[in-house]
Amino acid sequence: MKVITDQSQLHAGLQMAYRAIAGGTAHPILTGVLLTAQEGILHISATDLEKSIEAVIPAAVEMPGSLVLPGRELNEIVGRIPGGDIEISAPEDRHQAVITWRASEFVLNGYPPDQFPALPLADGSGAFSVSAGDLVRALSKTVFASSTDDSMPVISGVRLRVGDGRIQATATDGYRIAVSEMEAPGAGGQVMEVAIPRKSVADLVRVLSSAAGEEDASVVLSENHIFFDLPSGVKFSTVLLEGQYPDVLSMVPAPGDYRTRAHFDRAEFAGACSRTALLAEDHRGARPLRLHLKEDRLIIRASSAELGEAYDEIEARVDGPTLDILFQAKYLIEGLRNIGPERLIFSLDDDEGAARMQGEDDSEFYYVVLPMKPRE
Amino acid sequence: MTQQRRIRVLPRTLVNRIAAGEIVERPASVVKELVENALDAGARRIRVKIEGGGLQKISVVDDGSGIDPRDMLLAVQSHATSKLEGEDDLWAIPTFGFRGEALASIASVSRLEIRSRTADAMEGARLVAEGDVLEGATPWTGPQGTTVEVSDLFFNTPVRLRNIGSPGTEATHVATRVRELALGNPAVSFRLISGGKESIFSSGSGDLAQAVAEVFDAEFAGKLLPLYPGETNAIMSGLVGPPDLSRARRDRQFFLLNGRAITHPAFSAVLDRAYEGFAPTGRHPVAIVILNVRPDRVDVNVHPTKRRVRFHDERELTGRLYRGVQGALLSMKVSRWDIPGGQGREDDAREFHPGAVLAEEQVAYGFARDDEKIRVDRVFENLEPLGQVLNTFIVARGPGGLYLVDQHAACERLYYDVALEASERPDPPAQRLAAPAIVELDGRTMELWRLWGDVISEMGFEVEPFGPGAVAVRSVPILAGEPAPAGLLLEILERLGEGASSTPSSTRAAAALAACRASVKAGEALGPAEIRGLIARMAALRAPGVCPHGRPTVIRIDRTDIDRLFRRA
Repeated sequence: MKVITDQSQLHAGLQMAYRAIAGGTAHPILTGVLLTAQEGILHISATDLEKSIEAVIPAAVEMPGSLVLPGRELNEIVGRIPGGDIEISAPEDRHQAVITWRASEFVLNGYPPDQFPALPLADGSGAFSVSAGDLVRALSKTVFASSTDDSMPVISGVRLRVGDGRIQATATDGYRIAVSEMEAPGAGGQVMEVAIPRKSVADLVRVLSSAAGEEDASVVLSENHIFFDLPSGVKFSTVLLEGQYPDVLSMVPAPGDYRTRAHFDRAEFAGACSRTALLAEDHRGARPLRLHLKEDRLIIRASSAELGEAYDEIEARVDGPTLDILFQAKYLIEGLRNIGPERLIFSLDDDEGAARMQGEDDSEFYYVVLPMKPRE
Repeated sequence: MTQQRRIRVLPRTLVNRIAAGEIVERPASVVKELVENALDAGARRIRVKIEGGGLQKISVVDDGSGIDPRDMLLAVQSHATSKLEGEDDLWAIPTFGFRGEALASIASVSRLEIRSRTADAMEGARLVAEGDVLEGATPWTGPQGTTVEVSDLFFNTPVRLRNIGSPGTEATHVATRVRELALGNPAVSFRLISGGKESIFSSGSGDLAQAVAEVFDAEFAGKLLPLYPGETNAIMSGLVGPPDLSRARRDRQFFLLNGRAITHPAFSAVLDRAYEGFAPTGRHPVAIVILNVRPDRVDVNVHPTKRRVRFHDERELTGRLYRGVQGALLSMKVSRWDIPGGQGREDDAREFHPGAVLAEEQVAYGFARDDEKIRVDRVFENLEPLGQVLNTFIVARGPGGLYLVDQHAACERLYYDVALEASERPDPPAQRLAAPAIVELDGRTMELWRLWGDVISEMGFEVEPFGPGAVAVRSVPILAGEPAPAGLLLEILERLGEGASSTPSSTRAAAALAACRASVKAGEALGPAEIRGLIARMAALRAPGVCPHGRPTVIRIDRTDIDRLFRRA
């Protein structure tokens, strides 16, 4: 193999693929990047067996071939070269590369490319296209609510529901649900559902943002994988969560079915919650905020046997019966971070059922949070 | 010492009020009665010698006040005692024997010889009794004190003799009694010679710990913890074993009331309760509890052998004992890595057993340094985590050296405490579920749920029936800030089934299970924030240095030991 390529393009490609390199204790070959040179293109691939990333850059291919080089070292070397053409050449019979730039020369030992795992093939049944920017927003607004509990693997990620010209991202840990929903003209026809593992979501969001921006991504679904093909030539794939994702949304009331509705300023409420939460301390580490909704007020109270008490109130327009209800502070605060724009509607039924938060003019995102069990 | 009292026959009315019963069951009971007489006579040294397990011969020699020759004959008559004068005295018994039955009962089933001289008499007396036949007292000269020799015990009661164990068994019983008496009277020197060999010797130093070292062994004694000083006083003091000395039987629990060994199930139960969360269920602590209760505050006349008593201030005593044991356990030091060749510690306060191997460092008798900071209840406040090794241990810097925290054991303690609190405080915080979690139960676990539903809901679960083979969980308890997985319900039910005992301890068993379930496993990588969080939360617990099974959660490697390993010393 022998290629000549531009330093900045090579570095960008390595930075992209590098995200998929496996961490410390994995098989050594998974810490490498696979370089494949053919027909004016250099493919740079990496995988940790769960997710895979492939970047392509233009290159003068003098001799096609492939090679696996240690990812971290290659990335560091290329990153420290200020610019210009870099030549990578490898003899046929040795798993070793010579990297030259001007008078610099690096002989880097690698691994045999045939030991590198084959990346999954994007030959699934379902295919659609979606705006990468929309997908990034949907994923990053919901992923926080996914379960981090190992005992509930089926909900440890974001469920994507695609079809009928819409795309919906849902995440839950069983105690709150974050839902982001938007039109996706490229996702017509049959409705498909997959769940992307929490760990892969973060990488997918970064890859989509840097490699696609607001352009469309084409997506292919197979039984066990989801594949993203981005306009810049970058490919991302990840395994899917196994098991039937529970139909949590069917369990919560529809927007019109709540008896009490409060309208108030999102930022005021978020501020009051984060302040009172400082003194919210119950036994066993619970941090309950007690909300009281009545006519023109939303009152937030917290107390701690050790620290003292906190009281706050904000203006609100409350329609329906007054209500007292307890929430874990964290669940309110995390939800509020993702709700926009400024006014929000807080809908509740009673002190035991689900409550729904949604921006007044926001049809894309809502958040359902379950209260704590009412206390004596 | 003890004021000399003349012996007289008890009034009839008093005799009738005294619980009747056989005192002399076996050689050990003879020894006990004779030694108690010697203690009542103010003896400082008591030598017990037995042959053939005491069946051939028992002799008890003391240096007490002795018996007046004029009283010698009376001493072996039924209900003759120098210790009670009238009915009012029965409620204020300061001495060991009082029924005046002992010598008479022993005399009736053996060949008995008494030789005694009082301090102020030049000449003492000797008396021989065989069965019920008394010879008159004859003059005798010898050292001050009393010698009682009992030969051919039960020679005239063959039925009783048949129920007696082998000489070896009987010798063991005698040794047990002498040990108890030596523990109860550390200021008196005891010597037991069995079959010509000395089997027990105590020096009479007056120090309980030393008496324990002498009647058991120094290593054992060195591990014992004094009952928490804040709970000890003239009435109660003693020693309790750390968790690693706990035993499957209660055979090393001694309650010594005014020098006499008693059995008191209420105290044993208190010991077990104070130990919960320090050792696995079913293990019993080692304890030596010394009680000095004013005679008018205790009724010792419940049972003829006087091993059962009734305390007027039972509640106060059990409370003090509970807090004393808890305090002792909490004041334990963090286990120190026992480096070979690292014995003979500079901070080893117990001088009477130099060279003993101390795997566990115990509460100090006055050495200062960082001792307060390395108590099991305080140590986590003083740890600064450095990282994790082997995905199993947290390495930390702390008072005087290096500390290793077992992350699994530490988490077990953390979750045990929070789960226990969950079951002990009413209306614990619980989180509603977005969708009820369906937990499938088989016939047995379903039955257990019906049985234990109250305990389950006290723990914070809200559970409803869901068809024939399942329940729906609507709320789950919050443990350490996060909702517990609904599947924990099933495991708790199964654990309750295994226990199948009374409610309180099973709640604790469930708490212990919840602890294991929720614990960070060994072999799990922890990030710096998780490590700091764990250490900080441990610091807030009552007894973070010990896991609920009694194993240490943290060990200490001292500067001196590190020096020694690098051969810098």
